[in-house]
Amino acid sequence: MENYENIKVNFDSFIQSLKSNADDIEFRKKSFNHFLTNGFPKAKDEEWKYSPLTKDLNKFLSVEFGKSTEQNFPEELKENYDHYPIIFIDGNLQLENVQENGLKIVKNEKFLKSVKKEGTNPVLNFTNAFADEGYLIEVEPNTIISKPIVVYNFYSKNFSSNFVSAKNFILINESSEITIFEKNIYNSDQEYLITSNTEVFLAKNSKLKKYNVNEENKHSTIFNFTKANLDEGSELEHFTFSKNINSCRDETIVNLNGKNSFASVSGIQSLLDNNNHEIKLIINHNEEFTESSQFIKSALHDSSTAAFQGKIFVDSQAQKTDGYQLSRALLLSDKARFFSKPELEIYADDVKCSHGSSSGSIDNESIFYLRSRGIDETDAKEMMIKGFLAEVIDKLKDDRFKKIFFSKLGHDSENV
Amino acid sequence: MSNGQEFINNYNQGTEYAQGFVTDVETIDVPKGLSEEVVKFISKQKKEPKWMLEWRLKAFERLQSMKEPDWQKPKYPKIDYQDLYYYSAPKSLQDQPKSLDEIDPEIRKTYDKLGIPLLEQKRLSGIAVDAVFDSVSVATTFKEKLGEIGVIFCSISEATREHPELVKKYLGSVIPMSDHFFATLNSAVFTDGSFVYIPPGVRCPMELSTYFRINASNTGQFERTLIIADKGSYVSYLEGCTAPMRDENQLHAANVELVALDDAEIKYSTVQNWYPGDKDGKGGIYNFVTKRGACRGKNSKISWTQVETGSAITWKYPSCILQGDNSQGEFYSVAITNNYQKADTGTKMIHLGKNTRSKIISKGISAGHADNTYRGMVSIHPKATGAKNFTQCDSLLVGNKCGAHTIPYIENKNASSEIEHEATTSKIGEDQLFYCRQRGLNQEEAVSLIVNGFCKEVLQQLPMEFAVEAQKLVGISLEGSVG
Repeated sequence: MENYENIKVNFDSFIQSLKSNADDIEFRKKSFNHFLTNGFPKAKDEEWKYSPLTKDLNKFLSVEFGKSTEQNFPEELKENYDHYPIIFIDGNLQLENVQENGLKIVKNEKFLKSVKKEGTNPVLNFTNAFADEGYLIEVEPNTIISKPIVVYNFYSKNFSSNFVSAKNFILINESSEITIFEKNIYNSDQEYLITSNTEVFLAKNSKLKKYNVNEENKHSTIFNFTKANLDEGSELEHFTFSKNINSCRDETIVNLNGKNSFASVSGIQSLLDNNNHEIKLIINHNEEFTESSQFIKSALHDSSTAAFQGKIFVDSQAQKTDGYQLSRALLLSDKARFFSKPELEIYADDVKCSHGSSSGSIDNESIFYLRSRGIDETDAKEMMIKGFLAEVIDKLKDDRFKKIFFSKLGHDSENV
Repeated sequence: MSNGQEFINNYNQGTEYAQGFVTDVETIDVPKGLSEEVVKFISKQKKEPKWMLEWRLKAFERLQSMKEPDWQKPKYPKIDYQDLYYYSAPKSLQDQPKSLDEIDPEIRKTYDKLGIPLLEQKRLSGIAVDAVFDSVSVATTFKEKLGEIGVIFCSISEATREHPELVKKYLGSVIPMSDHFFATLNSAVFTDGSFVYIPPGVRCPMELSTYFRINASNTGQFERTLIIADKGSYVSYLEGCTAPMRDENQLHAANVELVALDDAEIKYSTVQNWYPGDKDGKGGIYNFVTKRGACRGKNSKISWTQVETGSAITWKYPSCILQGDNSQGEFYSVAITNNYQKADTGTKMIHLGKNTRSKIISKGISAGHADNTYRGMVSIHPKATGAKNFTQCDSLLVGNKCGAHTIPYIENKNASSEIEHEATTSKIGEDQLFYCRQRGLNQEEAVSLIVNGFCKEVLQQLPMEFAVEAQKLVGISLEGSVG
């Protein structure tokens, strides 16, 4: 058993520094105690079987909060199109004034102090105990937000502590639409523990496109948790682009609570060196006529390891449900590893659910085809890998972000 | 309501268990409970050599520090291991019968009802039967004929006496004594089972078959089967299981070990039709079996085929360890659960050798309030270059009170290997039913036909005698159940 004495001291001093109400303090204490009962997850815990975090979390047996002297976010790092920015500098939220009818972006005071339920996920409980920053995005009914929101998580050179934790809240009211793009920018070589808990509510007939980019981080241990609740007729498109990420678990739970709701959760893992990235997805079909799709592709170079644990759950109420899941991996080196656990748990009979999972190397015949046309082997391989990953991006609905992701991949979007 | 709905209601009514009768035979029982004395008693009854007793005691000692696993999907009330009998043998077998005529008429009657070809064997001369009746081999037939070509087919207790060198070498070599709780329990208290040895280059001329049967109430059955196929040999082994109706849950924790050496092939087929409990889920067998095969030699092959229609809880994963280069593992499974039955079954394919191949075809059918889980693992190790796996798991749901689950673990540690996995879940289509009914089949015949079609890929793998029985079983298991 690891020694959590330091974390306990960290937590006590954190609680004392909080200017918060009694309910909030109690919730944090409950969450923390829940975390303490089993501590950080172990590899033998079924839910964490292939997770890199079981190894890497133990580097953080003492945590210190976002102490930073950095105040400014470099303008040149901003996206070059019209958008509403939300900026976290070393975990501290900085908001700009937003002038659009029906859109509210504020510091997540209300939500931080409103959640009363602690679950069994130890890292989520840990996040809930500590998180003291976060955004709240609310879109009023019948509003289509024209510009995307871009969330920047910026880690500067002046960031001296080792822990950042956020709790965010997204509420899309009836018949509204919005696109949110979240990216992490690492300017520091320090080892951080970064955890987040984002709760999403989609009301009747609303739509959310949520895209995440997490790239070029060789030092941090990251846990991202997203829970989305979908009402009747609502649609969620969730996409994560992970490239060269040291140690990360992206966990997403989608509850399809209303008829005709639809969720598409997809992702790309492009991993190098000793990268270890895990995607965990649970889609709960709780109501009739719901539909879901999971699509994950991984390209694994060097000694990287990818894990995919996806689950489709269909309640006995949820007749006429379609659930689809596909995970494919390319192993590009003898030391690359791919673990997958695609699960189905089905209690209704009138459903169509399927999953597929495959892993292997690049097809030699395809390489031969390209080489016989004068493309050298390295380029041919590159081409195959890009084409393989691009398929996930191609299925996205937003043209602007499709182009952005294609270019991140180094893929010529015109030729897709 | 639609025709289909009505059918679903009918389907859930269930059928009575045709094989639910108890044979009235005097049995010698040891006192209840699990202790060193009981282990010694069993060993003594079996007239085992000393090394065998020591092996058992070692397992018993290990067992003291082991915990019962609890990760499985079907939960069951805690088993009181001190409340079970670990040995019971039909009394009339104190003196082993010399011929079929010497067999207790009561037992003969039981087998007749089950349709085991003990008497028919002269006509159906293709099958040698080693019938296990509550732990002791009742009769081993065709032994002499097999003996001529060097095939050893006898009970495991006989093998410990007659062929100790083989048993010593291979027993526990595939399923280590301390593998897990139930395997260790079996190692300590196993009573009987079959032993097969096929010498090099011999193709066993007939299907070998064992019919297991649990008779005395409260007797856990702990069989141990060991099959060794030496270089270049082939054997096909059939295992069939039925048990009479009892209200108390009975535990069945068998261990089956297969060893295939260079170029050898073992085909192991099971039809399991133990008492599944009544319509309300009362009673039934707990079938917690460890089956594992090792493809030790180059180009060896092990093929598991199972049709699981019985038992209250089926919890087993017939697995293949593919050690030899170019070795192959296959797993074909049909699991049918109805009423309150629960099944958690699947396979493990561990690829260690180069160019190893494995294929998994699993069909799960769930009706009534039943839960059916496929749980499997495909693991390709770094040295298994060029390995290939194909997995297909299909589930069929009948009614909306049952569950179908698929939990595969896929681990790829080799870039030159290929793994493919597919799974689907669906129901019997209204259009399929309509088509069959239009052509004059009644609802039940139609369901049986459709389900048989769904399972065809697996049923085809069974030897002929079994395939017929299995097809009937598929129909019977779903009778009065759904659409």
